[in-house]
Amino acid sequence: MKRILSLVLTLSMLLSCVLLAEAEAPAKLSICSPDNTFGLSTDPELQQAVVNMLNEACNVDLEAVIPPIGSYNDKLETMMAGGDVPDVFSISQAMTRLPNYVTREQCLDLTDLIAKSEKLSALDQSYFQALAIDGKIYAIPYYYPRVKCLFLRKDVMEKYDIQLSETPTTTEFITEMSKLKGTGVIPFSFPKWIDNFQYFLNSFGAYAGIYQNADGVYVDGMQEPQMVDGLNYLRELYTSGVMDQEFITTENATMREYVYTGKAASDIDYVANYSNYISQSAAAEAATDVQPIYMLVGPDGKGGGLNESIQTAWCISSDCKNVDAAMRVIEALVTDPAVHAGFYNTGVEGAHYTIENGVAVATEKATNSGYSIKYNYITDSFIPDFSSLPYQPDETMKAALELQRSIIDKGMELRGPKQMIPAGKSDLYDENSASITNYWKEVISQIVLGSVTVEEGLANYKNFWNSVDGDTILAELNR
Amino acid sequence: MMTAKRANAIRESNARKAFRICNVIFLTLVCVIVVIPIWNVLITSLAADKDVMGGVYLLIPRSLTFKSYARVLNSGYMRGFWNSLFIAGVGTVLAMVITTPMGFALAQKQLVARNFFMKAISLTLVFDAGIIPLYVLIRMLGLIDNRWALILPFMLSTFNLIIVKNFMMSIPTSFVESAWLDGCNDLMALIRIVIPMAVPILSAVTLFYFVSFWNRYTEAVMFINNSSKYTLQVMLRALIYQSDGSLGEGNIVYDNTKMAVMVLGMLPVMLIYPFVQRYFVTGLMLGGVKE
Repeated sequence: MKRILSLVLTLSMLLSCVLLAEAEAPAKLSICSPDNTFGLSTDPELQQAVVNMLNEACNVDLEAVIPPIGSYNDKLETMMAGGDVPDVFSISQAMTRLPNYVTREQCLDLTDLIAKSEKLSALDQSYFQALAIDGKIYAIPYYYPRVKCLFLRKDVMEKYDIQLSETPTTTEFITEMSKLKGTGVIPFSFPKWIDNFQYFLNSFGAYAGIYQNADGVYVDGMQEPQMVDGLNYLRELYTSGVMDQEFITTENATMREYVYTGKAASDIDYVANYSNYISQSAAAEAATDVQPIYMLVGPDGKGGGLNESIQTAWCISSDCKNVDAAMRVIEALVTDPAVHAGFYNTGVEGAHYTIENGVAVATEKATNSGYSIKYNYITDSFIPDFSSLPYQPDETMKAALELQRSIIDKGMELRGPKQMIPAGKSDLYDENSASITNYWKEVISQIVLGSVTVEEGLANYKNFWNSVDGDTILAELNR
Repeated sequence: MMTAKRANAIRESNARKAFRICNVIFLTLVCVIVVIPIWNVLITSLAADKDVMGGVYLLIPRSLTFKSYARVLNSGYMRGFWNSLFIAGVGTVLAMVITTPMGFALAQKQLVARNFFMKAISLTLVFDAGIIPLYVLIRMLGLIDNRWALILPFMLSTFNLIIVKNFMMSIPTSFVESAWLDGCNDLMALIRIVIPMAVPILSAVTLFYFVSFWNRYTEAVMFINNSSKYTLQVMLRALIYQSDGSLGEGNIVYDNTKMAVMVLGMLPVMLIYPFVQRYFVTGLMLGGVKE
């Protein structure tokens, strides 16, 4: 009897030990985010240092999937299609992609969880609402909405007497920038991404794509009368020689480098990249300040910066087994100063950088992989105060970031519209939205490059619209 | 002596001379077109940071520094290099181990259901299931995040198999039959008789396999989760995309570093090619002939 009793006692002790160990063991989770996070380094060891930091801060055991940013969406969507949805994942171009993922039931409804979270519910809820679908929130924005403006080198402005305010008219822009013709400086460098033309279309009240007009009716922006004026202006920008004649092959990095080096006078970029122009023009031995042009005012007084809305947001898989732990991770990523800064930009002390006199200095290993210290987290995130961090930017950078903060605020104030079409409202639209977008981009690039006239381009678009039964799409959306 | 040589030489017509000159000019131009991008990569990798900014296309070196190579050799990219080398090396060896006997077997006219096998294999040339079904298969095999996921599914290329098979069909059957008569089994006949005769085609196919394993990108991104197992191609693309970050929050990586990684990516193939070059053209031509 004694033996049986001692055996039972021993077994129960063992069982409680196992249960206790399980209760205290960090929750296992998978996380997927592109390699422009995880401390901004492509070095696997440095990325692992950031994962370890997250594990420690959130008491989790993360399996990180860190695809290259260029293939991130393909990887995430393949994982989803293959039934391997990561527990926590970030989505890019959130307004465009989220409805699709929600329709496929890949994302957990976070509405109640956000309401329960002290830290997340304290944030400005309008940013959450921007991503709401049928009143439910499926994604937590990672940072402020993205807005683009034009950046113009101040040294070029002075040298060639270019008189432009921060909100000039469309005519003034062409007239003043035309002063650079024949000087060897490209007046306006533009990337190959056609979506950026929306910045100029805003000046004419035109919108490329389907959108809800002031009366709440869905219309196709390409067929609205104001689009003709917008397209004529784009064509004029090109024919007047103001826009880079080789824009159609220009990468973002090249466009920026043109301005850093003074090869181009201006470009279009995120307001949050202001400080890069200061530091990189100095690195290129062509130091200058740049002036933001938030919007070009059109003939009817319309205009607005390029609104790209919430670009990156965090979701939890609807199959996630440990939702509390997943929320802990997202909370830390969005609201914890040390975790946010480390994950978004700076990495981990000892691995990515060391601190010398209160300033973070990149380690040799990190530098060799292309890493450099960036402080964008200070102006991009929802966290108001990073003074608790043991390192701070130097005085020059601090001043640039302060200015950047005001540029972001002004950019947000003057941003143009961004439309979101809810998924599931029109099956025909869901099926054809990608091809409609591709086609209007093709037509706009043909018009700007002069392969077709505005009238021909819009006629071609109309034929395409009929081929995808576009009127039925609008009827379904307006039902 | 010289006069005798001239007398014996066949006199070349002017038209022929003009044709030869045009040919030389044309081929030189083709060579220049091929060499210029490689030259650009090389000199950009050796240039200083400030000389590569602003989307410049260097043809004349502006500076000479090995700083970019020093960075790359002491960076995480070397791990990608070794991963790629492992996958390409092991993959190529295994692929040849499978392709050669399979080509030999399919070349034997007496093989039972030979036509059926050939048709089944050829189907894969025409129909490609796509990445998602392949992902599901790899997941079911438990190979996600395993380097073997980049080797096992690609160990047989139908195109390479057909080339090898066609070459082996062109070897007179009497050679193989003599080997059998001398007591060799099929495997010995393959090793002792057929493979030595098939060196040109096998060299060419080895290079094909190596290049295809070395350059594999999409599958490496899709099937590998842990970045420490990424291949060099994935890391190179990551480097290029990160610095172009459409959101602009990526690192600013100058072209000299990108090009140094690119040189690292070209190196193994450039080193291997000279050794198989002499077999390369012959091998391909032989493989294309079916007698």
